[in-house]
Amino acid sequence: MASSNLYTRVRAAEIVNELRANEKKSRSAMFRKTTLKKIVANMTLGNNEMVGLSSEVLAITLDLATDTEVKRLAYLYFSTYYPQRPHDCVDLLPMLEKDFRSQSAVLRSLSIRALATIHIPEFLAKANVLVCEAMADKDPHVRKTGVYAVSRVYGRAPEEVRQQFLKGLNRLLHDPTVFVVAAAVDCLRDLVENHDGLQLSIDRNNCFRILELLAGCDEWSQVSLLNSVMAFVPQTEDDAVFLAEKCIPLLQHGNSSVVLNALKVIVYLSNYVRNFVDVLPAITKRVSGCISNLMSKPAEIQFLTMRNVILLLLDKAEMLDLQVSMFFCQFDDPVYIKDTKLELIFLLANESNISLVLRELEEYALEIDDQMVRKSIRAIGNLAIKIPSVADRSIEVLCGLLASSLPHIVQEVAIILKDILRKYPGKYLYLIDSLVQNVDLLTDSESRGSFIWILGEYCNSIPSSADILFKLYANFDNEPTQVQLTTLTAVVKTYLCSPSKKTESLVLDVLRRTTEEANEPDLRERAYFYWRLLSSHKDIKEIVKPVLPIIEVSSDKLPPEILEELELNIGSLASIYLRPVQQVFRLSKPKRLAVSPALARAESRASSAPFSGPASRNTSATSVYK
Amino acid sequence: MISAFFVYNGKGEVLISRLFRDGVRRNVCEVFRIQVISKCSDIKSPVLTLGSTSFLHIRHGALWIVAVTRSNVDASVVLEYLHRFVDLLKRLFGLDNVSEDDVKANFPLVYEILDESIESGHVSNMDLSTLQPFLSAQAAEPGRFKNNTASGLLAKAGSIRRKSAGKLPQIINAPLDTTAAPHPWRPQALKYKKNTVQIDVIEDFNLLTTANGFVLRSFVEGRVLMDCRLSGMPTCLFGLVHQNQSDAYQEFKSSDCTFHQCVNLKDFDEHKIIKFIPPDGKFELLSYRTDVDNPPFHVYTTREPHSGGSESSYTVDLESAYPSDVAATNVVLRIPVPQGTAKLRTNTESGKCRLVEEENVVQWSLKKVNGGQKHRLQFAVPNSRADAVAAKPPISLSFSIDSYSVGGHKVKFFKVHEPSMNYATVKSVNYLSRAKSYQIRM
Repeated sequence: MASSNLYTRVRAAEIVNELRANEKKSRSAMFRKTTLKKIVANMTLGNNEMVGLSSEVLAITLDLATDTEVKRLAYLYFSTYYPQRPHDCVDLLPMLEKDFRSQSAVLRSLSIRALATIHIPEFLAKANVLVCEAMADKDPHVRKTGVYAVSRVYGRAPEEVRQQFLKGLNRLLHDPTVFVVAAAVDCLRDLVENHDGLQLSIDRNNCFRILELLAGCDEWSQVSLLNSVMAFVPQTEDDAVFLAEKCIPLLQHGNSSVVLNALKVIVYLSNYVRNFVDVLPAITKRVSGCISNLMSKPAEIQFLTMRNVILLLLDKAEMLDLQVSMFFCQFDDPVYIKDTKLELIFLLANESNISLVLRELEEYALEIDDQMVRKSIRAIGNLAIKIPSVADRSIEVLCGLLASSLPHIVQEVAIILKDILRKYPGKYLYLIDSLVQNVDLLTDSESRGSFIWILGEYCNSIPSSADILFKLYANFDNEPTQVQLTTLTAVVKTYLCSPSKKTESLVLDVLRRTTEEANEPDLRERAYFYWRLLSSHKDIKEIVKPVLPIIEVSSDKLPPEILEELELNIGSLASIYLRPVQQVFRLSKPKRLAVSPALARAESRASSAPFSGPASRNTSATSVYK
Repeated sequence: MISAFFVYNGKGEVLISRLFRDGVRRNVCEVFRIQVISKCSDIKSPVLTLGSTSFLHIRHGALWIVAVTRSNVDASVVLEYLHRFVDLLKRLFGLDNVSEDDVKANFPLVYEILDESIESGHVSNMDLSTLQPFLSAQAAEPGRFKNNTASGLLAKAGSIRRKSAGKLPQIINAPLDTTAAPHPWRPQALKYKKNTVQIDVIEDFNLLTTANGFVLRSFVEGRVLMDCRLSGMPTCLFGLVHQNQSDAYQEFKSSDCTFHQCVNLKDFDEHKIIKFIPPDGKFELLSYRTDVDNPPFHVYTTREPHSGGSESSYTVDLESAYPSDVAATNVVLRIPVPQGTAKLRTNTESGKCRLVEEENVVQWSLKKVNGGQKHRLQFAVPNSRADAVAAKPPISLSFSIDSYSVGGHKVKFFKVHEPSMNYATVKSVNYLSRAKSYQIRM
């Protein structure tokens, strides 16, 4: 029977009948194995009737005990259904014990793995003993499996067993086989992350020893070992430089995870060296080189890389020297890649590459995808605000785009124009004229709100502002509250700047309507407030329309403590979200740079946030790496 | 740490489901199906976090390969693992694309791989040669050496034999210390009757230009693939040079390349030497990225509304800019035309031209284009009203050039040194250049 047919849903009763019918036949072993496959395939499909077949599975397993494939499938079955069928699992125990004494390393690993997965009391009791034995096995693969099994059973083990586990793990940190060392480090990190009262630290000699091991081990062990370097706190600048130099070659590894972890270690160490880039001048070229390599990996890895480039640009820009054209969008890039590329183009833009950047952004602004269009227009506007020397050219591009009279372009320009006008008071007023011509296209509330605000604030510069306001006011009742509030303020401002019959009637109408008909308390209160001001007959222009402070670049900076923690988490999920780690993962333990005489910016950071050094947290440090 | 691993088919049915840690339940797979697969049309991110459960996924054909985690996991490990997992399946099944049926037909094997490659949620071992002894389920034999008959190898062998290495510095001749540094990627005690090495230098060209020919990006992504069938524990030395315009060999550019785990990175860093003990069989030795100033093809397009007003006429010029003794094959130019175009008038002396209605492109194929040639295509399509606001996909070009490196790279030497056995190695090198993403904006 072809295996793909196994993926058809069957009833438990059918299987029982089939098994019974074939019991006496000659090829029953083959048939029973296929039946087991069928059961596991159905379990995968989510067919929960399979739970009732546990005694049949047990019988097949014990019967075909020489077949490793059968064992694996059976263990998979029981590790899925053991909570419902604990009694059948107990019958597996003798076989597992026998396997653990077998000659084959594969079987020994397999039995340890099964013991550590099925969490019923009988298994756990056995696991506590055998896992310790496995960690002392003569075969490195079994030792490795033993180490990883600890991370499954540690949480349920009694205190004295835990101590034994930790002793065993610490011993294996000096194992002759590198991947066992790596596994032990992995497991310790796992335990520290998930259990209180544990602390991983590593002394100078061991850290240097580990780095020597890096060259001769497989790539996933390299990742684990690199992570263990993060537990070492360099006490002198020389140590930090030496370690960083050792990591630099790994930036050219073919495995993106090794590259990003090496980068994480280098960034971490750079905190312990004053003027890191001057000490290691090659670093900029090497880091930038590894970024461009990662950009030819699959999209998901590109995405992760770019999120981390954003992080580095915010805090460690001196380590990067990147070509902005590397991040230009391809037509067929997924949406998340395009968005992130746009963000990077914005961050990398400067006076020298601005014409290239603007040409590229203009290209995106004329695309069909309106989300992309909006984001690129926003980027052009924000560039004008961020770099004053290129404002003229950015505005020129926006002006050219407005001429297209496409609705989403006009709307987005209206939104960004508000900020531009505030940044450069008195300049670029001609943009308002182009907007006025397209006022009918402002169909979404955000752009209309922004435009109404502009009308009120710059009513002196717009000759027909009162007329346009009058026109927009016609739709007042249907507007969302935010737009209504903006309209109210704009009307009052217009009236104060150019009092006339027309504006007076407008102001009276809006005040009457908002105080008498509006349900929204904020709106009503504000209307009353204006009314009282107006009836005080004083010069209230200064109050209603004060000189606005000039806005600065929208805040693309994160607070230093958050950057610090994110840099210790390069390549992790938090680095994708670029948000404080605890905000996304409530249970994760906070990470901070440990203080040492070499920490380059110890003073500034330590004062900004209360710092809890390892010494103070280290009350019951049980697994100090010595 | 990976808590659970799922493979779904295109419809969202679970094909493989494996839990590695407590904290997630089997029905967590439903969440991903509802939140991501059923909203297939817009994938906002390869990572989705709900509460403190995160789903990281990649796609392979119609398959979804998903890892579930409960903590701030190292995403680089997980994503790299997911891609390697697919690569491993491809190699085990001997296929270029793994489909739903392949997974179903080999599901015991897939579970075995998961069992051995992820231990308690930690990625531990992913290399086929070290994984193989742990796998008992049978899969289709991978199609190794399918096209490489012995005679073919011999015929090519002459191309790479190089003179003695007497000039090379001492460090090159010293074998890598096989006792101190273990080589987990290489099985012990291999023995081949005939020792062969097949080297493939494959370069994928990427180009992006604006409509008026301004080059935004132009580079090759090169890969050096090896198929090593060598006895014992050989130490190999590999040299690649970059040949620039003035025909002088240059040292291979170093910062933009990455290596297989077997390459001793320290040697490369300090001495610019690529030295390694290879794994057995096929692997990717290194990949590199080099900016190239002269793309192999230039494409110029002009589009004019016809005098009558009912049609637009296009003129497309294709110029090949590589040496004339080199030939590109299967050159296909795809020129997007307005949506709904149903009629096409063409005029060309070379190649074939047809309209692919469902994709709204005119496809111009030339079987063979020698270097230094010019070809022209003229065609006209009816004007359409949808034209003004439609998306503007770029013109794309695909081609492949045998025995030629567009990046100008050349294998300079490949030396095999096995300390205990002294054998001769048959070596052959192939070059192949092709287009990966060759786009000209309109």
